[in-house]
Amino acid sequence: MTTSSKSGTTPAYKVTQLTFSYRSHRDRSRSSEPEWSLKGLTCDVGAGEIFGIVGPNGSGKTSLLKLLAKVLRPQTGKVELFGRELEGMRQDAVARTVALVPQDGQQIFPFTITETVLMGRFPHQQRRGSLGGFGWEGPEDLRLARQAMEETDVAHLAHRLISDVSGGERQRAVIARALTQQPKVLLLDEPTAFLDLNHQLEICAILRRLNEQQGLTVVLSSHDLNLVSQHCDRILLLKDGTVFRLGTVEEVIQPDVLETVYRCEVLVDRHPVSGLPRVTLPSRPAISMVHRIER
Amino acid sequence: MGILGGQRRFEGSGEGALPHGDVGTRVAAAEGTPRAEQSVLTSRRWVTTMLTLAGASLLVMIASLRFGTEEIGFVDSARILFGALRYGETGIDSLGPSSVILLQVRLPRVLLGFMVGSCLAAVGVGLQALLRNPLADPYVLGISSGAALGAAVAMLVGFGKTVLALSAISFCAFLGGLSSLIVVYRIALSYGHLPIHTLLLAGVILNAIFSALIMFITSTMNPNRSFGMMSWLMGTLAAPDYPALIVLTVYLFVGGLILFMQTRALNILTLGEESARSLGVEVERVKKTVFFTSALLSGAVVSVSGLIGFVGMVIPHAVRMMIGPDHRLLLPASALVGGIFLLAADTAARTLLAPAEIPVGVITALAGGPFFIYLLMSRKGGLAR
Amino acid sequence: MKRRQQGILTGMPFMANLAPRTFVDDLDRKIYLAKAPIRIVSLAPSITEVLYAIGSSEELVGVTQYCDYPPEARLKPKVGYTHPNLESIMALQPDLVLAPREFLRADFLGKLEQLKIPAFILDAKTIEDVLSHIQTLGRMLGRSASADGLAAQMRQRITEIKTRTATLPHPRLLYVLNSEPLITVGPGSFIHQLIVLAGGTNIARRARSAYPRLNMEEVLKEDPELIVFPVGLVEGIPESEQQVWQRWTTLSAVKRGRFFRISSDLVNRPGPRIVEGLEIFARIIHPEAFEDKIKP
Repeated sequence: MTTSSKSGTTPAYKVTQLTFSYRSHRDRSRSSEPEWSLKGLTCDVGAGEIFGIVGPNGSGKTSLLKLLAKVLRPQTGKVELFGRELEGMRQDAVARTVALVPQDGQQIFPFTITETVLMGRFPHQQRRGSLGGFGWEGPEDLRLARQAMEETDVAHLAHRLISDVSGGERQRAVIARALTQQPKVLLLDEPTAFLDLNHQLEICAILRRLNEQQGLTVVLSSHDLNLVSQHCDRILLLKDGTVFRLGTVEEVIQPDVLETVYRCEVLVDRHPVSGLPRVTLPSRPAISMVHRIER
Repeated sequence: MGILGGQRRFEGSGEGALPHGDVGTRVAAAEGTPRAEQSVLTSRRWVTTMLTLAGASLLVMIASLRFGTEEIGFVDSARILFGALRYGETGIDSLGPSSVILLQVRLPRVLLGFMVGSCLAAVGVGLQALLRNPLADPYVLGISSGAALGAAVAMLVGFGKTVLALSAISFCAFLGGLSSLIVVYRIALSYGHLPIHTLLLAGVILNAIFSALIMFITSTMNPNRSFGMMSWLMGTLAAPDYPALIVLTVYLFVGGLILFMQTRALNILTLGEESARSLGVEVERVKKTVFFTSALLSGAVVSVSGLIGFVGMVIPHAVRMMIGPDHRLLLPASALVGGIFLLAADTAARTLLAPAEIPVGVITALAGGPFFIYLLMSRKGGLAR
Repeated sequence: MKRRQQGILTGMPFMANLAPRTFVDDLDRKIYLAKAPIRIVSLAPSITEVLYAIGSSEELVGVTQYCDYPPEARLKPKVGYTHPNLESIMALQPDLVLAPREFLRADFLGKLEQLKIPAFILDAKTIEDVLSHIQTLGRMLGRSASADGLAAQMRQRITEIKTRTATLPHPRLLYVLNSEPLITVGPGSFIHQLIVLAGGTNIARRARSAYPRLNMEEVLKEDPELIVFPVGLVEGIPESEQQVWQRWTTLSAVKRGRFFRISSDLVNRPGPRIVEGLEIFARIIHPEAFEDKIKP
């Protein structure tokens, strides 16, 4: 099992013994052990890697991504971003390096797509520090936003309200927003969940291109094992908040590994063109054998 | 509503693509087209809008000076005002009766009314953003009912000392508001974070408790005196003296400025706290700043003028419908519109049934309510359109 | 009870001859009392004062918590004021409940009727009403002699005041019922009548309601020569209020320092002491006409 990335360069992320739980007010009594989303997780993500995170629901994928973006704070453990400890970094400093594309957002205020995408420039404007965060978007900001919207094919929706477009269009707008942050690391939580096939391909193409041309590190979580298989350099397979397997696609996408974690039978063959592992669910007669696999 | 340079927000109708243009381009809205190209907020649009509203504010103030128990024409008003400024004659003795009325009663009241309306609207904007709730108003956090309770206790006990240019009732009201602020904060604070749903709940509960206490005081007070107390609670804009007015102006202005500095972060905050954090917003700091500033501002306003409803909840909505949700413009614009609105309402309140006065909260609700319904119906519904 | 209605009892014209035991109250309700009640509950301080004044204090078995005059009244059992406690009243087994119209809860009367407790409602709108109430109560309780005597005495004092002030000018007076916000008394209120009777001019005489909120501009325009503050249980208010009024140096009252206090009980209660309130007003408004009387 390979735990470390390409040697030599500072890894984008070095995660050490990360432990996290969503605290609720019930925990104030301290009588019961809180439910841990992540337990002692250790891994790293290489600079310029496309890194996939997979695992069943509740395995901690979303929590991990949020922790990597400093949206959540861990109970114990350490996250280092290009060698700097996340804990000591200011929020806007993190945001200039890391952009997070969350699963779904709700917006009740009538902002347009353009305004939403431009919000990605906030961390950079903070640094320019006009009056502690007040100021206007400059031509550079507008250009970057425009470019990002064209990349993700939402430019034609520039003046539509973000609450007024379809889920897929909204998702693409949020990706454009993340791109506008000009991050070095892009974190995506189920980025293709609402997208039609053509847009799924487009997004993956964008990510690959940015990865190849600019060395953008991409970390994405997905239920779509094939997506992850086709595009990721390495994969982290989570189970119950811990690392079940971390390694290359070949090492992780294996039937017995997947069957243990997902508790169902899977078929793994090869993609006819790329030759990379391809996961398929069994046809109907085989499903009755699911009951055999109990853990 | 084709005002403010033709920038309006409309519901997207979903067919076809708009012509590609520079994101910063402004296209004037053709009459009747269901969709107008909306530009990102530029400094130019900000300045234009604010200047227009400032001009309107000035006009309304000047007009309000005219009306009252006697009409003081514009020429006379100008003469009195310039005379006062030039010769420094603001002392009462040296002026004729109209001058006294204008300078000592009407002008301070006009200024106070504008400031109270401004402040209520600005706080409304801040709280609607903070709580991500379109029903939020300055009274939702329970600070105002704490202030009202402080006032009620002062009236019950007959506490009569003036403190720091504030009347006894105002002073006790402010203390009540402060106490309420501390209680709400302590209840809501959790591991150094300020969860907004807890904040909202704490506010609602405190409102209920304090209202009950006020009702209790009303019921046990001698009925001859409780009338006065109920009248105070209904909202009252009495002519302050200039020292008090100056203190209040500085206080409200500083608070307003602090709120204004948060507006860009407030925009991002509307995405949700986690997304805002991922975009670099220090969410807890912004929340606490907005909370404390809003509470201190609304507490002060209630201490001075009782509970004037409607302005803080509805003006932000109306202004947002007209100029968009970008808080960098929404906040100051709502402040000016709120000031104009309350000033107009107060002018009506003190002239319609002269020499008697109607409580200004009655006018704000009766005038604003139907207008807002009209706005809602012409836009076919709520916040996100 | 309105005098003119004595002979006009609906459906019972012959009752005019039996009038002495049937009374009509201010809500036009008829009440028949076979004999003078001996257990009376009073639901207003004014009514309590009347009962004491006409000599019916023995029959008084229940009072409100605000009934403080004469001081002995405080010793009587309390039943509440705006929210009277029905059980307390029932426990006292009254054969008559005397209640004021204002401040009384709407459904309360219905409950009393349900429990078959005779209730008589008094609603004094004018000073004349107060006098006729005293006389009616006298008749109801078999104390006509002292009641009529009291009423006559009161009338005489009122007439004296009217005579003395008839030819004098009527100075402008502002009665500050409440300071924040400024509320005064207008036509329709008791105090307004007292001011007029005492020979003064209420600056709010043109208001359309009994307790209008007044704009300061109006005060400045009307320029009162006297400012009167009510004093109740809480003595401290007028001192600091006078402070506040010092600001308005154009007012005649401020220039001459003519601020006065009056006990609110004397002017708010439509009872026997209303004449004292009137006399105090008269002394305030026309001190020169009443120098021979003792100042408070």
